[in-house]
Amino acid sequence: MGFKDFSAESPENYDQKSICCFVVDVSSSMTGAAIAELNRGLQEFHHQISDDYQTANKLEVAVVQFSSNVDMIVSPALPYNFEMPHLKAHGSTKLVDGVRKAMKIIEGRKDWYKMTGQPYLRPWIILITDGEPDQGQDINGLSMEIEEGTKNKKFVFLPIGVQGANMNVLEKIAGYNKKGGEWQKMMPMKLRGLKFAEFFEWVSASMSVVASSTEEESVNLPDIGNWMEGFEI
Amino acid sequence: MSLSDWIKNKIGGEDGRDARKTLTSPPRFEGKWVVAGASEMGKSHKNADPPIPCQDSHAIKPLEAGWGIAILCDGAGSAPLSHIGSEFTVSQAIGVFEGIIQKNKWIKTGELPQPEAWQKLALDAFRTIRKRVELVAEAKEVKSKDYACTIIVVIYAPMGILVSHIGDGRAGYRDNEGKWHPMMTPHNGEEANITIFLTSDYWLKGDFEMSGVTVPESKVINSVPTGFTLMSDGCESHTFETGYFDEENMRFIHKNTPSQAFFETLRKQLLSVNAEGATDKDIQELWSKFVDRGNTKFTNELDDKTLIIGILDERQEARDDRIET
Repeated sequence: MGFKDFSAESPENYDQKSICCFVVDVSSSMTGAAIAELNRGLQEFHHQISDDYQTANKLEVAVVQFSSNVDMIVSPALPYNFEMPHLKAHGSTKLVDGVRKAMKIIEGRKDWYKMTGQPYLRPWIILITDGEPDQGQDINGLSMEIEEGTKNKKFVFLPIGVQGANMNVLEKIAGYNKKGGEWQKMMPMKLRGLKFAEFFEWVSASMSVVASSTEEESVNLPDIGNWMEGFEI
Repeated sequence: MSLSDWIKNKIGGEDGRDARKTLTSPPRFEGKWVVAGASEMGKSHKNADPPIPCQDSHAIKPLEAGWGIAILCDGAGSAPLSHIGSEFTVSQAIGVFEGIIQKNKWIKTGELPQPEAWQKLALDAFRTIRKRVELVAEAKEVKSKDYACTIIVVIYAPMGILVSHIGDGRAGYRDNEGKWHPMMTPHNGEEANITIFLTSDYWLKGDFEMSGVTVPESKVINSVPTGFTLMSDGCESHTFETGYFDEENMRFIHKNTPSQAFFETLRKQLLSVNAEGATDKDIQELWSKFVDRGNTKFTNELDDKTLIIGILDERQEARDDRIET
């Protein structure tokens, strides 16, 4: 005997928020294919999260670009509340200033969540760079700030190196995550070729894994896709 | 004497003290529990390559005289073997809590324990189950925290409900006037996805608090239930009112209220198929399908989903095929 399927309408609830701040290198070394692929990846990422029923109301995005200057080109917003700008490559590499700007942005957003009593997930900062930071950029100071920030659960920091990136510098500023009760460095990852689209797809999928239940201090990281080049620790 | 009058007297109503002396055994349970449960993979687990197994598990065990146990575990996303941990924990928990019911002769006396007694019994039970998880981990040479999962235990009975839990998720019950109420507070940390697990060390002494309640949080509901539900956090925002943003005061308002419309709609449908002669298997199949893809929110949920519901069928026909002792 066939029975009618069960059906019921779910209540409407306010979604918990998370913020992901991209810090992107638009120095002149990114000119050509790299900036074109990065732009394509960012646009696809924006479409993907806008179209995703679950993510669209949860994930706030901010974008900081750095070259000779540092600019917040997208202030924290849900996908349908901003246009993803097209980046242009020019100038030098003020990497440290760019990351520090992102740290301020996410701290400010977290304060807003707390002040308004909103449930939220740990913010992410994703650095994408292809080169060497400018002379005088305080890598050692930044390294300490990231260690302090990640160990105190202020944010998750993920450095991504594009072709030509100085992976030693990225390793120096890598953040920490607790696994099995031990602090472990979250090593930088190197993009295979210019697979920005695959990388951003992974970021989009990661946001759901991050949201699943976890114990204090540890952060869930999804499996890395084929966008990453093998990188020896 | 009706069951609710009997309870009123038992716990001391207007003339409860006198009535208590004359009572020797509870009245016969009238009705039949229609209980359904399903644990389904979330979208992110389905879409992963390779797919991530469902980390939720559940079990339902009807006992005699309108009593029963429903348990669910939600494996930690951060623990590599939590799908095994949740399944093992559920299987152990059913036995441990059934043992408690039998040992304390609650069914025979028709009495629920006092809140303090239940809290202690539940704490001891969770310690026992945790020990068993540790023993398995030791035998398999893995860390017990690799099996990390939350747990919610509901013991339903004609005169009330016992609930105890470690971690997040939600649970609620329907009173005999048809209103649904919450019966637990999820244990959450500062960040929304942070919770506590059976394998955590913090709660062992029994004095640890999270979200303003102890871990484990144990409650005795002394109200005649006509329905109950328990679920993993993957279902909560599709079934409960969890909160809204007060734009005027720029403030998020937390709520923990079972959606009356949602549960009443499903209650009617469950009673209807039961009246049409659906078998337990039919009902389970319909329920699994609903939890998997019953509406857009369930379909699109990224996290694993476990939803258990119990509805009291009070029709004469249902009474006729009730489970007897």
